[in-house]
Amino acid sequence: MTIPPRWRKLIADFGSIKGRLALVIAAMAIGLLTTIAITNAYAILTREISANYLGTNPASGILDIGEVDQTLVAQVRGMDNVAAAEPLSIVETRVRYPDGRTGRALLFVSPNPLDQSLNTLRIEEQMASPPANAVHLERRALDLAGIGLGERLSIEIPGSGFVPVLVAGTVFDPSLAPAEQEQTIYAYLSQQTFVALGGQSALEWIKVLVAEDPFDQALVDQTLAGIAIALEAAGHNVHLVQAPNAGLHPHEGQMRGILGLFLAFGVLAFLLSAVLVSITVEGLMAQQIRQIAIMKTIGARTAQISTLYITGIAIIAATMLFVALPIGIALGRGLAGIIADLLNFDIVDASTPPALFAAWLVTGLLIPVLFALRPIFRATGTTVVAALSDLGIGRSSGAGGRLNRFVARLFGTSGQTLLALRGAFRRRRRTMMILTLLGLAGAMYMTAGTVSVSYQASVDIAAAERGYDAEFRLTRPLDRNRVAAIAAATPDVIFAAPMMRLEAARMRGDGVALVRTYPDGGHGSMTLYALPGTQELARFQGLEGALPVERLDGQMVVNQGAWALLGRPRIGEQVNLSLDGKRLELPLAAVIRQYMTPASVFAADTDVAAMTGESGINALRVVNAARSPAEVEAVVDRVGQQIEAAGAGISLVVTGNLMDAAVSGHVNILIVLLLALGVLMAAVGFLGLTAAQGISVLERTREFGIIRAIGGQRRQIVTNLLTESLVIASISLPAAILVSIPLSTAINIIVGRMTFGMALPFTPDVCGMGEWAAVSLVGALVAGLPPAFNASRLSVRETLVQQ
Amino acid sequence: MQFPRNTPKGPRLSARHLSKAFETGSGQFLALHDISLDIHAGDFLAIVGKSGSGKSTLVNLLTGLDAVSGGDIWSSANGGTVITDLNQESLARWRGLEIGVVFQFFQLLPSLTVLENTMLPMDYCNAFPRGERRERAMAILERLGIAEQAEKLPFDMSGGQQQRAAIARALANEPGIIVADEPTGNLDSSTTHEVMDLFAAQREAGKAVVMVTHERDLSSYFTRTIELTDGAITAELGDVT
Repeated sequence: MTIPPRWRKLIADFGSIKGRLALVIAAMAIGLLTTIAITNAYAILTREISANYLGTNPASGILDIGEVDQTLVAQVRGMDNVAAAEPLSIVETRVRYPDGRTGRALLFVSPNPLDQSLNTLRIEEQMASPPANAVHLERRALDLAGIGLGERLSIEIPGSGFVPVLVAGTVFDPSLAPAEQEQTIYAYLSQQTFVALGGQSALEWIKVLVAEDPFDQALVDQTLAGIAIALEAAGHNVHLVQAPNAGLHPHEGQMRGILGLFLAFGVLAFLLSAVLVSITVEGLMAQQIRQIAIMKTIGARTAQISTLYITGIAIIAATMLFVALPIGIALGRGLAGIIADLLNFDIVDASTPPALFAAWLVTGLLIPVLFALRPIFRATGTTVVAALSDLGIGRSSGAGGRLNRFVARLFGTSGQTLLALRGAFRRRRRTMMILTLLGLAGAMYMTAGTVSVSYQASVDIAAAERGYDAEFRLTRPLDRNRVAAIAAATPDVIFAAPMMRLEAARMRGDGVALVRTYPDGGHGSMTLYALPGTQELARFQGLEGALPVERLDGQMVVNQGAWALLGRPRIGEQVNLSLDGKRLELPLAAVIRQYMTPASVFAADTDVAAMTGESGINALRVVNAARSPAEVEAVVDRVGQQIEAAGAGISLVVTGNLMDAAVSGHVNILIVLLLALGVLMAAVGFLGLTAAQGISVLERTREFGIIRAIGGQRRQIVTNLLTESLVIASISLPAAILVSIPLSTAINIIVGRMTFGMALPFTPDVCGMGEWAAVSLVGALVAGLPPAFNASRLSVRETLVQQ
Repeated sequence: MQFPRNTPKGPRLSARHLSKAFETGSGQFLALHDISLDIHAGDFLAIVGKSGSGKSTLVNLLTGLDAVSGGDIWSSANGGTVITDLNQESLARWRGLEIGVVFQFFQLLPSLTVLENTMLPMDYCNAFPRGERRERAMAILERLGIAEQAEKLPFDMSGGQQQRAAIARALANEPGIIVADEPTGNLDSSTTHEVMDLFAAQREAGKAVVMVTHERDLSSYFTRTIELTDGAITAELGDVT
C-alpha cells in the first residue's frame, strides 16, 4: 500500500528533526512516567491502606475504665448503637535487649489476642506448637528486638521486674507504625499469660465498635461519650475515651498529604515537559512555514495541514505513552511498596484502577496535542503571501526592546557576550519556558536539601533545648526529696529534675475526656507535667503570651502541639483538662515552642495536687556527665537500680539516644522523593534546553552563514551557543533559589505540622545550592554542545542557500 | 459587478476593478488600483513591468493567494464562482483544482520525491481515485521529459529539471489556468526556452497561461502582454478579447 504524499511529507518532516523529537519524547516520557508513578502509587496506597486497616475490623473507640470484667463488657455490648465490645489492657513498659540496652514496649493484653473480633491480628509466623505463657510480637518488632522466633525477650512486667518471655510468633497489626521507627516493641499476650508472668489480673480498657455507620465521626463520638456518661452514672470511673479518626489508618492523612504534594509536582513536571512539545513544534513549524504556504498554493486547506501535524503529534504522544506507561506503572508499584513498608502495611492488590488507565491515556494523548495546537494553528493560519516572504530570520532578534537595551548597557554594544545574551533571548517565550523548567528543577533540588537540613536543624534544636539525657517514668509516685536524693547520690548525675507526669486530655462540655488517639497512644495524646517552677521551660522560645517568671501557680503553659489539640485557645482563656478522669481547670498563660516533642501541658505541682489529688514524683529527668551511648546506658542503669531500690518500678526510660533514633529517618523518604523529582525535572529541563538550542540553530542557519561569511570562525559559533546555554542556566539559578524559598517553607510547614504540629525552622541548604549551581552549569554545557557543534559544521554555502 | 456569461468561449477568469492596498509604517500604500482583465482558454498572457510595479501582487490576487482590497474576481469553475467571496478553505480547493502555480524558485517540497511532489495536489484535492494518482503523475512527468527523475529528491536535480517538476506539479489536477511568477528567472537561457516551450505546449493544449516576467526576449511566446506601472495597467498588447 502506498502512503499518500502528504503523510510521506509528515514522516519526512518529523524524520528531519528526529534527534530533537527523541529528546522531547524522552522528556515527555519522564514527565508522564513521574505522574503515572505517583498517581499509581497514590491509588494503590490509599486503597490498600484502607483495606489493611478496615480488614482488622478496627474498634471505633477505646474507653479507659481502670477495671473491666466480663459483666461490664456485656453491659456495654447491650448499650444503644454498640455492635461489639471487648476488654483489653495496654501496658507501657520496657524491654531489655540482648545487648543489655533497655527500650520501650507496649503490651496488648486481652483474653485471646489471636482470636479477637475487633482489631484483629494476622499471624505471620509462629512456632509449630506455641507453648503456654508465650507472646507474639508485631512482625516488625522481631528485628528490633534482635532475637529469633522461639527465643526469649526480657520484658518488664509491672510489679515483677524483667521477665524472660518466649516469643512464639509474629503477627501483623497494620494500625501500628513499624517498631523500628517508633523504637517500640509491640507484644500481644493473653490475660492468662500476663497474669502468669506476674502482671495484674484485671483488664482496664474496653474496645467498642459502634453499630450504625462506624465511619460517621460525629455519631461515633456521640456514641462513645454516651457510653462513658452511662458508665460514670453507673459508678465507674471513665478516665479517657480514645476515638481515633473513624475508619482512617493513623497515617492515612499524612500519606495522602505527602502523596498529594508529590502528585502536584509530578503533574507540574508533566505539564512543563509538555511545554517542550510546544517549543519543538514551534521550531518545526518555523522550518516548515514556506512549505506550508506551497502546499496551500497547490490546493491544501488549512484544516488538512493542521490535521496532518496534529496527527503526527498524537502519534508522538502515543509513542511517549507507550514508553512511559509500563515504566511509570512499575515505578508506582515500587513506590507504593516502599511507602507501605514504611507505614507497615501490605499491598495485597497492586493492580491499577481501570479509571486511572483511562485518565493516563487521555492525559498522555491530549496534553501534548493541546500544547502543540497553538504553534500548529499559528503556522497553518499564516497567509500564503506572508509565509512565502518569511526568510527564516527571527523577528525578535533585533537590538530593540527594553531587555536588549538593558543588556547593551550592561555589557556594551559589541562582542560575543552581547551576541550570546541577545541569542539567548531572541525567542523570549521559549527561553522563559526553559528557564521555568530549569528554575523549578533547581528549586525542587534545593527544596529537598533545605527540608532535610531544616529537619535536622529541628532535631538539633530539640536536642539542645531538651536539657536532659534521660527521662525515667516511674510506675508509682515517690516523694520528691527521696528521688532528688537518689539522683544526687548516683555518680555521674550532674543535674536532676523530678516532676509529676500525667496523661491529659481535653475535657468536653459534657465532662467526657475524648481524644483522637489510636491504641498505641500515638497521634493526639497529650501529657501534663506538674512542675515546682518554670526553670524547665525557660530555655524554650515563647510563641504566645508570656512565660511566668518563677512559678506556674494558677496558670497553664502549653507547647504548640498541645495548643493545637486544645483548639488554639486564647491567652487567658480557661482550659479544661481531664487527668486520668480528674478535672484540671486553669487559664492559659503562654504557648512555647518545642521541636520534636509530643503535645505537652505544664502546670504548677501545687495546682495539680490541689485539683486532682495527684502529688509526688513519677518522672525524673537527669543530666549526666557521661557522653557515649554506652556510658549513658550505664548511668541510666544505675539510677534505675536506685529508684527500684526505693520501691518504685520504672515503666520507661526515654534517653536522648532513643529519641534521636525515633525521629531520624522519618523524612528520608520525603527527601529522596523530592530529590528524585528534582533530578527528573532537571533531566526534562536539560533535554528541553538541548531541543530549544537545536531549534534556535535551525532558525538561525542563515545568520550563522552570514557570521561565517564575514569572518566568524567555527569555534566562535560554538562559544557563542555554549555561552547562550550558560546564560540561560545562570539566570535559572537565582530563579531556582527564589522559588525554593516559598516551596521549602511550604513543605517545612506541612512536614513540621505532620510531625510535631509546627513548621520546621527554615534553614537553607547552602551546599545544595552550590551543588545545583555546578550541576546546572555543567548540564547547560552538555546540553549546548550538540547544537553548537551542529551549527559549527554548517558550510557557508549551505547556510546561505537556505530558503 | 458585471461578469461575463459562462460560455465555452467565455473567459476562464475575470478580474474587475481590482485594487490592493498595504499598510506600511508611513501610511497606506496602494500596490494595485482599478485592474480589470479577462483570461481565456488559449491565452498566453505576459504580465510585465518594473520591479515594484505590482506584477506579483496581481498574480497573488488572481490565484487567491492574497485578499483583494477592492474589486472582484470571477472564475468559470463550477458554473461560475466569485472567488473573492470564497473563504480560505474553499479558495484553497478552488486553487488546487483550477489553477496551477509555478514559482521562480520552484518551491518543490524538499523531503518528497519528484513523483510525490507531483501527486501531492491530487492528494490534497482528492481529485482522482487514489489508485490512479501515481500513474497519472508518471504520465505528466513522462510528458515533461523527467520521468527518469521521478524518484529523485528536488535538490538532486538541476534547476531546469526542478522547474519541469514544478510545472508537472502545476499540471497534476489538470487545471484550466497555469500561473507562473517569473518561472525562468533562475534558469539559463537554453533551459529558459525549454521551459517556455512547455508552457507554450500547455497553451496549445487549451489551457490559459499567465506569466510574470522581466524578460523581453520571450515576447514571441505570448499571445497577450499587459504592462503594469505603479499598480495600474498602462499598456496592453495582443489579442484583447
